Amino acid sequence: MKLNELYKTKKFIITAEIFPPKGTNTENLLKKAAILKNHIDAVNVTDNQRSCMRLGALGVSKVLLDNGIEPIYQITCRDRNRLALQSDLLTASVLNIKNVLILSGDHPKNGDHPDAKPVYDLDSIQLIQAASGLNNGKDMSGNILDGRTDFCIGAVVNPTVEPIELQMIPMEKKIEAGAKFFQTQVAFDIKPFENLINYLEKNGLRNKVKIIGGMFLLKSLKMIDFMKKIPGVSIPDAVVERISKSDNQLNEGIKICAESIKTIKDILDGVHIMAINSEELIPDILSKI
Amino acid sequence: MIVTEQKHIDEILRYIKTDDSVFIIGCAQCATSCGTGGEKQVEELKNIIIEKKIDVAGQIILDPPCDERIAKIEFKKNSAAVDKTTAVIVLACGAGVSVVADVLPAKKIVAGLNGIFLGSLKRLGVYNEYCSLCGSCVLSKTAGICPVTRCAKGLLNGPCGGVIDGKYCEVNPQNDCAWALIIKRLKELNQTGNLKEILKPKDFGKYARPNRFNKKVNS
Repeated sequence: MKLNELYKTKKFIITAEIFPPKGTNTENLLKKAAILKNHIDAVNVTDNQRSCMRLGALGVSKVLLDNGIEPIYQITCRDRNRLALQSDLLTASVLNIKNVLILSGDHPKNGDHPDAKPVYDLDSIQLIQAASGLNNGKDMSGNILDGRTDFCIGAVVNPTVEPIELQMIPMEKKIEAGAKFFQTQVAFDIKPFENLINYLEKNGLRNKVKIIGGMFLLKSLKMIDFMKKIPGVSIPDAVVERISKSDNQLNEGIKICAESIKTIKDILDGVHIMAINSEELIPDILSKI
Repeated sequence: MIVTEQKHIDEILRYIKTDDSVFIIGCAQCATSCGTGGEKQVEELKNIIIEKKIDVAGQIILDPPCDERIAKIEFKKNSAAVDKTTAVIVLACGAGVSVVADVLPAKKIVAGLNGIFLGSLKRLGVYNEYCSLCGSCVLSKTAGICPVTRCAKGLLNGPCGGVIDGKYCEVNPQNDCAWALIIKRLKELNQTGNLKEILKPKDFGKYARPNRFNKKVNS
């Protein structure tokens, strides 16, 4: 179901994400999907995330759909030109994929094929425009399609970037281009989300889009060290201290994640829970809200 | 200015046989400025080749090697050495190497340098890449700072979510985020209206390679 249709009956939705495997073995993925199935509304399927080559997001989205899970197909501008991107979107539509999340994509330089040619024929805003065009029955060259797409188009925003205008300028363009929902970069306190919502309200944009806040399960101090190296992520000292002082770092991480969700529940339209390789813990997190 | 770097000597020597007679060509312009294909580098290469007991028929610095007229005149002047030559090593960008290959079709061509980018001189020996020669310049809209070149992803409509401390590029934190610079300067110039416009995808069809420019036809 398209997320905008889901919002007709639900005020707050929960999404998670699943990484396609490095290879063709989908056993693990399906196990995780089965655990998540009754706890969340949709699952993002990442597109060669962190520029590491994996099983394709389009195929995995279809696999999830066949297993009763609503996928949010992530599509980045990094690996394909405008022909391939539009073509893949048409394919997604035929496969009954209803939700797409459009991103520019991490640069290949920091991935597992650093010699790859970065494509970026389009940027994320131009691809959102292209997807809106396909929804309206036309390709980027204005050719009429025999059968249009019907996607709910999503985009990303990083509310932790300062000054906030560095993200609001592209965000406003994304809304203009046709993005209906935003999934945010991870934030570990409420302030960045408040700033984002205030900005949208002040500029008359709040009711145009749904904002799904990025939540992250910090499992250990080691993981914090890793996360700090990821572009666009910042972790407050108070959170680091709580994890480092805890006897059971995983439990503390679950608590922190649940608390964060409770804190932002009233101001956002949903949460997107990232529990890297521990998606099976998401029901546990949700039970503590 | 075309910025070049020297290829490793082993890579150059891989294409030279012991019975070759070598002619070395340098570039009086860009490669001299970069210190990759000037008189000093031509001399150094000559000495290495002589040490390997390979014959050096001659050497010349063309001003510049990417000008076919100059290349033809100079090769004629040096015809005795050129005739004897079996392999030409060119210490210039690919434009120079290609012209030499065109003018001397019977000679083995060895490229001594890698052309890297179109450089803007910061100070002597320091170049920045500010322009990609993309064929549809957007600098009037972006306060003279090119997002096609200076944003690692070439994003035309604003920064990605990875800008570090509001200033630096996530791909290489030693670089400024081009969009942070653009937004700052447009604000200072009261041109923030430029930031509202969604820039269209680049027209890569218009300038499909290989390009040719003919002043008579193009103007």
